[in-house]
Amino acid sequence: MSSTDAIIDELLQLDPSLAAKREELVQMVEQIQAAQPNMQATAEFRQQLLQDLRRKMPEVDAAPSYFFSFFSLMDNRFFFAGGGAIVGAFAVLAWPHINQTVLKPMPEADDMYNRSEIVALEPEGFGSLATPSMGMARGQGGGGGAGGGYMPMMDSSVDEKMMATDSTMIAPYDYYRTEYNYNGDITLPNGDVQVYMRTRPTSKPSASSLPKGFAQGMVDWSRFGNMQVTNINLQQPDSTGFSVNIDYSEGVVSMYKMITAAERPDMYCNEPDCWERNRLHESDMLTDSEVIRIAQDFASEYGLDLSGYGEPMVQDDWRMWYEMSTEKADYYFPEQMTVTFPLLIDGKPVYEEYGMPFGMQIGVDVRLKEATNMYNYYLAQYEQSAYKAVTDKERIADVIKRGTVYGWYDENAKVATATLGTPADGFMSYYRWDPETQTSKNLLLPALIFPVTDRDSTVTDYRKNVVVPLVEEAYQEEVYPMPRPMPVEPLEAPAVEPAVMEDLGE
Amino acid sequence: MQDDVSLVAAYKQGNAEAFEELYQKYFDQIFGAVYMRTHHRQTAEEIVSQTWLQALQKLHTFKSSKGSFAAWLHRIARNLVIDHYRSFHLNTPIEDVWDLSDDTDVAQDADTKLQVANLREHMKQLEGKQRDILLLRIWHQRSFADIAEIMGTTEAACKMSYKRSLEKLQSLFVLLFLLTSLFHVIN
Repeated sequence: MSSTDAIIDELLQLDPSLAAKREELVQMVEQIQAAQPNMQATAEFRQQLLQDLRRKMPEVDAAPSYFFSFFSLMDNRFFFAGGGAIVGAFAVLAWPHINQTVLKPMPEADDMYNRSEIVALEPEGFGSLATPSMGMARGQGGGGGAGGGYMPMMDSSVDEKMMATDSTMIAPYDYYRTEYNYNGDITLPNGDVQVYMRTRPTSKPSASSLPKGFAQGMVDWSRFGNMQVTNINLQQPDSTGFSVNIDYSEGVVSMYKMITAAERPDMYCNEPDCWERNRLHESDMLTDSEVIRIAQDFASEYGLDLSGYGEPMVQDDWRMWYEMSTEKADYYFPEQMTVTFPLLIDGKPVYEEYGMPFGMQIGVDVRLKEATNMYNYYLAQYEQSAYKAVTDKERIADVIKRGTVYGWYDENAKVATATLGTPADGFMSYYRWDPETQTSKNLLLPALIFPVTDRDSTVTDYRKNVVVPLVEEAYQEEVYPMPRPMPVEPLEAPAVEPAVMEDLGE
Repeated sequence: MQDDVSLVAAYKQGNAEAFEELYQKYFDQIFGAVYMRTHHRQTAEEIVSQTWLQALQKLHTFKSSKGSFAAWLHRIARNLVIDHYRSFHLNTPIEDVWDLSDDTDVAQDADTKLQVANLREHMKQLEGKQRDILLLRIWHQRSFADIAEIMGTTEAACKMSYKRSLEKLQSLFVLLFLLTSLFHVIN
């Protein structure tokens, strides 16, 4: 029975006397039905509205928000349950040393800074994860901080003749590459894996009520319409206070302490004697546990929420370089030791593709024995989408051996070896450049993290972990080999006659 | 799946997923109902957004003893549609798109405007609530029980309104047919 007939029959049940007009009623109902437009909302609108509502949920019972509502401590009333979803901690900062009474309330302060969330998308919702020429564009994207780890480097190491930090700097002729050996079993996931993408804030605070100070009368601000605050730097008036940067575009906060000459005389040395007088020695260096304690105390003092981060790790590569140095008396000890709190996704730590932990970093000044900077403190907002897991064990074995999925190395380089331990589940931070939007996506790919348990001590390979992504598309990137630097041989004769300088004399 | 009363109660106790469940359950309904009254996708999106935001903001005031959640939600949407058209300060009271004149400047999707062109003059003869009941039944194919809940009235009242609307339209269709036929005869 057609829907028209059903409607007519129903109508006739209401009023049987209408049976005489059945034919006309059918025509009329058909005309009404034919006029029905498409009344479906788009999936994008549906999802976007839901995201907007989620952000507004804590605001329902909240007091009026001020410009620094970003920094207010939040009540963790609302939670998300469900498989695969994580409730990150609310990313907040308390500012006991900043006088908030001078700050005016901003009526359009974005409440989305008041919670962390993971939004599930349809499968492969981030598009293709494979990008050509990404071998040249590895490393930190985003902004607002010094980065979550080390910058990309080639996979070749140098032998011990090349010392990075003492007075003997010899241009290397021999390049080494490390082959990583793992003899255990590898279990690959079946089907799909969940890829996460850190999302940037979609709105920014209005600049309409932002006090412009001396600039108020210099420009006709009304010409700019409704401007937004994209980045702001705040500074304590104290000469040894903190400068805080809020990047509303990236959703990240960073801070650094201003240091005076009295605290760090070495920073203002202009002559070798001054530098020699003020240099650090091995006895000045802090232990890892001391550095971690200082960083944790700093986080606690300033209300940094560490619940979304894992066990802190100290970047201690300087120890490796120092051990290998042949002129230890001249060794330059770092002024700062950095603690990385690795980001946790689904309870698992995130690593850079070259094996360093990826997350918030707190720098501890060795002389001052204080934390003096903090970077990569991002909003914990992500989207999640399913992607096909890699199944090719041979491809995985090749990546393990090379030590990275994207790195390049010189085939002609000498080979050093390292041993890997049992892998743990984790994520790999991966920045994918989108040429169409001219932005980078910070993707977090499920990965196996193989710890380096043993290495050739004569080769300066800093890598502590080998990170192997488990997403099929991550293996589709083309790796472009880089040319090996040509060693410069001394010429027997000058290529050109040296210019003869006339002695101009007096 | 929990009923609406349980979901509202759960949300009030801090379970955000409960609100999401309500959202997923009623989103299509609300959007369809709003679009039915606006014929303009962007306007419908704005009104639907406001509807859900108001629902979120006022959910703590919702009392199941005064009616169903569906009726409450639809009422918010309907009021927003009315407010939207009143904001144009037109000379005649406009409750939704059907009341607009043919030469109006108020935005409508072109394809929808064309689609409903034959129906517009007839639907104008009905009151807003009559149109809602009729179109919820014929376009959205909702049961009278659902419609009654949405409209905040009884099933019997909905059926009566529905019947009368169709009768009125039927007589208008007949009149139009006669006038058209007469026109052809004369010419």
